[in-house]
Amino acid sequence: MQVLKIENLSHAFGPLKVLEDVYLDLEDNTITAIIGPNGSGKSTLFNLISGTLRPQGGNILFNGINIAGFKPYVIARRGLSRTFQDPQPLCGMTVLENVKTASLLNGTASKESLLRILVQCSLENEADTDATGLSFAKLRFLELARVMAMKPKLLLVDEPFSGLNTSEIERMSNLLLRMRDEFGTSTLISGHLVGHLAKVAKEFVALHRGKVIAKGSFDEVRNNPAVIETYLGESNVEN
Amino acid sequence: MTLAPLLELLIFGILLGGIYGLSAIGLSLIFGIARVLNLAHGAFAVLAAAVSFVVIQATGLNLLFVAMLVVPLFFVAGYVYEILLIHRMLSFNRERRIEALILGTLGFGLVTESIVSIIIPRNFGVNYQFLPISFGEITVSTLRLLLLAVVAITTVILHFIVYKTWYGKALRATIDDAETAQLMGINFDRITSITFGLGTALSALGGILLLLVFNISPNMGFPITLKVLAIIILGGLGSILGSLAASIALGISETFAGFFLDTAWSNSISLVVLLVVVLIKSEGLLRR
Amino acid sequence: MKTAEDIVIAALALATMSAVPFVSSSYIVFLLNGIMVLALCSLSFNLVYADTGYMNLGNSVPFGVGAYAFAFALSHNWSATLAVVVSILAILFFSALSGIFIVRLKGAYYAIGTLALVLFAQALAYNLGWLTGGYQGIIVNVAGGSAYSAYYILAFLNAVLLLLTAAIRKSSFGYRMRSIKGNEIVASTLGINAAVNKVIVLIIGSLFAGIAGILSTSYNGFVTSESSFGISITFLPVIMAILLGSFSIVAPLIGVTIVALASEIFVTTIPQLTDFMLGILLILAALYPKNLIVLKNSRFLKNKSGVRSASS
Repeated sequence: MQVLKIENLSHAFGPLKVLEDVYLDLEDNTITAIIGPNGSGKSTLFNLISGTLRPQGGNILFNGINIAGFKPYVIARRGLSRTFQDPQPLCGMTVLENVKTASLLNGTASKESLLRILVQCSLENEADTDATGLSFAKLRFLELARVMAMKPKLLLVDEPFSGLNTSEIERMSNLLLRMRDEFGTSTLISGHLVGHLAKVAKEFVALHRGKVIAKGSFDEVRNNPAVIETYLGESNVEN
Repeated sequence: MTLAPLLELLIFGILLGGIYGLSAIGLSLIFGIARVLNLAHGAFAVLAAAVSFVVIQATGLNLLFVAMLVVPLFFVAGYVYEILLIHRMLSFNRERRIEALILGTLGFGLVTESIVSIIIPRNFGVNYQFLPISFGEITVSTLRLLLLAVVAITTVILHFIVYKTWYGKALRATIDDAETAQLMGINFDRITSITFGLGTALSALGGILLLLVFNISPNMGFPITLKVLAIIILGGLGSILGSLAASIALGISETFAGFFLDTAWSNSISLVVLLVVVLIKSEGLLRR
Repeated sequence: MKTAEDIVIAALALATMSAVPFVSSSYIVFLLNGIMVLALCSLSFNLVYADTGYMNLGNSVPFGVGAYAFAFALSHNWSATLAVVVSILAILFFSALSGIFIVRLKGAYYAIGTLALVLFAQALAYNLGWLTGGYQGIIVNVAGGSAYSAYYILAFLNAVLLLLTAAIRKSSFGYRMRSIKGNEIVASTLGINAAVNKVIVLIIGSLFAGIAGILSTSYNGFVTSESSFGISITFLPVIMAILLGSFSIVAPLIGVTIVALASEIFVTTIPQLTDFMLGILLILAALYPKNLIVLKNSRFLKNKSGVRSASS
């Protein structure tokens, strides 16, 4: 069954068309990467799916139900979680409290299970630290810890690798794969570091100026002439 | 004919709106530059009115003359107010800043109001005898025409200041893009202080003119502030023309409400407007 | 150490407070009642403010609604029980109604909107003479011992609200509210319905404020627009909540008493100076808030619950 099916999604900020006729399929238990240069509409796409923005046209079918126009908390309760391009900690709360709040979606979680998540994200030493005092990399992992506590069916991770070093990227990739295997989470992951994305994602979708220009496996998309033209030589493929 | 009195009401409404508009433009400028909703704004107006009243009673000088003395005084007051109080609060972090500004300006408004009620413990107003002029069937008091003239002239002067002077250009630049403006050598702090001074002076002028229109009570500070807030939110925060339009609209509604319903309700109109406007605005912010 | 100390002090305070009405004049009881009313309003304001960060400056509205409703009922010779029931219903109705609109406001607009509500309520109180007695307000006949029963009820309610605030903070509900304050957009992506939570906490706070209003009428014997929506009753609780915090027992209680006593003195001597003092206090609260509220692993929780170990 398809977890996510997007049809004809369009959105504009005033006269500026940010997304045009976007279409997307996401199968169960899959990780798909969304790539595209800055301004291609990746974050807007995520905002539309998670309900933070209200779509102006098109359908967003989450497990068969059109969630376009639903409020964010409703969509979250249906099993969607997301992280943000700029890490957004819950201010005034500790790391543990951040994760605990996220876990409330599934009822009361024991302190042990919460700490387990922190350990997996290497945050156990900061459990009682105020979330705003964390380093950038740790904030990224906090975002991940939160969504892990939510055990989502569909996960949106917005450029999670940017700003991380290689070993951190590897850790995060493993966690994403783990979520897929343990919770059956399907993930949409956006970013630029195509090489790293290829290690987690099976499918690729390339966006350019709000339109889908290529879809398929890593190699298919990589060799797509339209994609090559956009990236002008794909200098950011790290292999 | 029932048209004539209606037209008179309309003129009065426009006049009232114009007076409110002065204060509103003042607050609009302040908000534009510093993002501060100065809850003491109305209290300054009342204080200016009180001071002017006392001076008029004591010296017998005419109001416009007194205004020309008092308004610059309030420019200084606003300037100092910014430096001493607002500036400190503006340096707080985002979370604390909003709370601090609300409570701080609120508190200052209270202090100002209590000072007014100590100076003049009752309602006060000024009555001048003016000969009315008749346009056909409409009788208009020359006083009101004079007031309209004052408002109009002030608006023109304001326009000049904002568009032709160094300060005005700096102001508009900073409102547009504060960072770049500072990089180009504009002293943000100085511009902010000057704007507070200007905004307060405008509010003071509004308060003084209000003396001629009806009796002012010492605790009118907050109702006036809320009226002005309603106006600038309705007219679009930071937009001078919008504030002017909104204030005239409010002035007219208040006048007609006061005539057809009861004067007690005319004050509530601005509150209802404020509540409605704030709701719509917030809804709009939600669905960015 | 601190646990035992605080409990002993609290017990002593409790004992002293219970004994007071028996050994002092009715004036002192009145005074203390006034202080406890303010304290209750302050705790009510704090309930919403501490965890959600929203400043409900209109907390005196439910207070006034309760006070007026009760007075209205009594002046029409309804039984005390009926009067209480009707007043509580009125409080719930108004707070739910205004709550639904108010919670849509964000940040500064929330504060301004609630402030406008107070002024609006004030205007209504002045103008709807048939309901509120206009400028004079309503006067009711109260039984002789009413100040004493009010005393104990007020003390009880203060303790209840204090405990409730602590309990909420530890509960899932408390976490949800704090997340709303921490980052409302993120909170919604965590599945939290911010609007509903804000309304619920608002209604709870308003309920306590409203009951404070009912009690105020019950022992004062009158209600006016000034006593219900005036500057003192609107801003003193705010000042108290921000300057003193409401999360330990002892220190704020003393502080609260001092502030309220001072305001009593001012009110009876120079009324204008009351506003002046309140204004200064507000400015001080703005510049130097003593945020005892932001306690991690709230010390109070461990104290009040005795030997409860630190479990988040």
